[in-house]
Amino acid sequence: MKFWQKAFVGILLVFIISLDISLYLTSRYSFDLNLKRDTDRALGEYHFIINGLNDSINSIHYRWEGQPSQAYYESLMQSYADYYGRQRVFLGLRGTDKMIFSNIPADVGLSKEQPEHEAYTMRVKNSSGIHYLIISGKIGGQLEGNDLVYVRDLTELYRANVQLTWYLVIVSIAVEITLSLVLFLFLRKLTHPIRILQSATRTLSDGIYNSRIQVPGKDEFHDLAENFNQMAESIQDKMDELDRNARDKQRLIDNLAHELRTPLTAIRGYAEYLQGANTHERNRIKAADHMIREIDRIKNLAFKLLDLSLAKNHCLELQEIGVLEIFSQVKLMAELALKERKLRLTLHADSELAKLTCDVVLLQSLLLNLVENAAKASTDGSVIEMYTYGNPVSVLEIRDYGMGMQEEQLQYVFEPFYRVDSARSRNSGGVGLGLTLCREIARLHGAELQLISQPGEGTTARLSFTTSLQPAEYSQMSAEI
Amino acid sequence: MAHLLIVEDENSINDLIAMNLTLVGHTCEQVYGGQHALRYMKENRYDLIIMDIMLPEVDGFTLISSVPKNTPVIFLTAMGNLTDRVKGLQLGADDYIVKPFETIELLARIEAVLRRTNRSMQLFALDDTVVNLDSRVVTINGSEVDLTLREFELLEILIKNKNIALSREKLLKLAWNYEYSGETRTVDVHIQKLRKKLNWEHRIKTVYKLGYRLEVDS
Repeated sequence: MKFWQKAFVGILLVFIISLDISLYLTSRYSFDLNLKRDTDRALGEYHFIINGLNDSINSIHYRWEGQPSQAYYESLMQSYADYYGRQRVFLGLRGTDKMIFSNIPADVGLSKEQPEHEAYTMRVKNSSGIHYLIISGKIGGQLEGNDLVYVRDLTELYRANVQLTWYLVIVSIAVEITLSLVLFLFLRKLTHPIRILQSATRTLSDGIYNSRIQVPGKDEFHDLAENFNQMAESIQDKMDELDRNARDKQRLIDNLAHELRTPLTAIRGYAEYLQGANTHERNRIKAADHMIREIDRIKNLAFKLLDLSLAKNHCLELQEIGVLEIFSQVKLMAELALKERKLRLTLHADSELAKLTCDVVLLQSLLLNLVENAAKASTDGSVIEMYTYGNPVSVLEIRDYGMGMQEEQLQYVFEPFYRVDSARSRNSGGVGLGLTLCREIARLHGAELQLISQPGEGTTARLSFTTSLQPAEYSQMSAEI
Repeated sequence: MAHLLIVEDENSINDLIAMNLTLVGHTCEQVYGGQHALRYMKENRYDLIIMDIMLPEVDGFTLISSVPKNTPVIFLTAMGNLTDRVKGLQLGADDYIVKPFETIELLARIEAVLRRTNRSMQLFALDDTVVNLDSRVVTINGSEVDLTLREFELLEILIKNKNIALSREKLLKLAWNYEYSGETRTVDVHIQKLRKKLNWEHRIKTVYKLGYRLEVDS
């Protein structure tokens, strides 16, 4: 059973029960009041008649000093009966052993039950659908030993009561129908946001994360809807991120399989060649050379992948070190390869004392990678520059004046296995993971790695330490200078 | 003897194909990029072009439209999924080989395409022996030599993979269509018979621990 249905039935039940009980009590009370009024009136008339009878009998007694005759009683009673008969009141006079006078309808069925102590008795009797109020009692005085029986027809009272009851039933039914309609509409309207939320959560659980809901107003449901939207938003973000990660991983694996396939094909082919070919020594040496180169390539790939995975799960061993010191170490490592191509590496710093908090080994490997890339892009004999400056955050730059890159190449440079010049890179043993590794190391340091490049003019790799991993020396230092 | 063009940007793979083709008696030219390929195709005639798909400058799918008519093309690529295969064949390639490949398989496929396009060699002459691969007739100094069907098939395989050592298992598989079964003595027996019938004792060499090789001076 739904919430609104429960509320509907609950409220309706409580209302109907309380309404009906109060109407019932009201009608009961009103009936009791009317009955009491009738009874009081009847009692008044009863006493009036008894007094009247006593007066008449006394006056006759004192005037004639004798007992009035039977006929006199009858005519006296008859005159009362005639008068009250119009109001549906019947009278009876009972002697000690028999009725002296009576115009009481036979169906009232009088019984002789005279209490000893009380002056009169009063009761309501239902005789075949007609209610009678019966008062009977001793008359006393000259008429000691006789009883007066007063019977009042209460049909009118009861009919009025039945009418009232019907009226109330009809009114309550009408009120209840109206109420249930109003209540129904009201509850539907009130619980409308619940249904909106319900269908939204269902959509969400079905995996559609971009649905948002609108609940107007300023009540709890509106707040709930806003919270729900925020929740959906963050779920969507998380799911997107997961998707992206899964796609990246899949692409890495696909590319890796592709990267492995070529050297393996070549190595196997040359091995077969060496094993079975009837050929000159010259060709055998060529085949062996190719094998060695391809094996080196796989080795490079394995080490680079290892570096990457280490960088991804690495705990930084942070230490503070002068930027120029790192630069000279990198220069030392790169020197030999650069010399072969007559490339010069120059160092520039806006402050000799610039310091950096970093994992030295990782940062060296990052810078070395960038220098190697710069060397690959440069023509023989040109210059590669390493810059550091610290305003407002520490920045390291490596600039070359080589071939540069196109806009669309820049988009993909950080992708694993992407190579700007695939043939040349592969033949020189490149595996296309260098920049991926660099970016990973930068990320670990809370730094941002950017490439700025113009085709034919050169490339600048900029490493900006944007997070608070770095101490504040830089800003102080530049202030001192 | 066919003249082939190899378009492949991987240096090592390109050399590997070229070296094996030379071994079995074909001649070939090697190019490493799309632009060079276009120029070579314009200036020379080839019996067959072996082409990678992912190439610098111009990719293989584009390149194939510039291939002269009646020149068969074999794609040799790492792109192994069905859509690429179908696309390659629909563009008019005669075969589609996915890396990694085995040398023997590559040679067999090249041979098959050459035969389909009637560029395959029909006559093979060595010393006094002439083998007509088409009519399946073998003569020594003009007189016909009687070979059984199995012997001729073995001979054909040796000729097509000349200068390459073939293991007994491989020979069984290629000439007898057996999967490896250990019954390699059969091969030895047939090789003995061929040597005797063709007088090729010094031509069909036993390669130690490996198998047999038909040696032809290159």
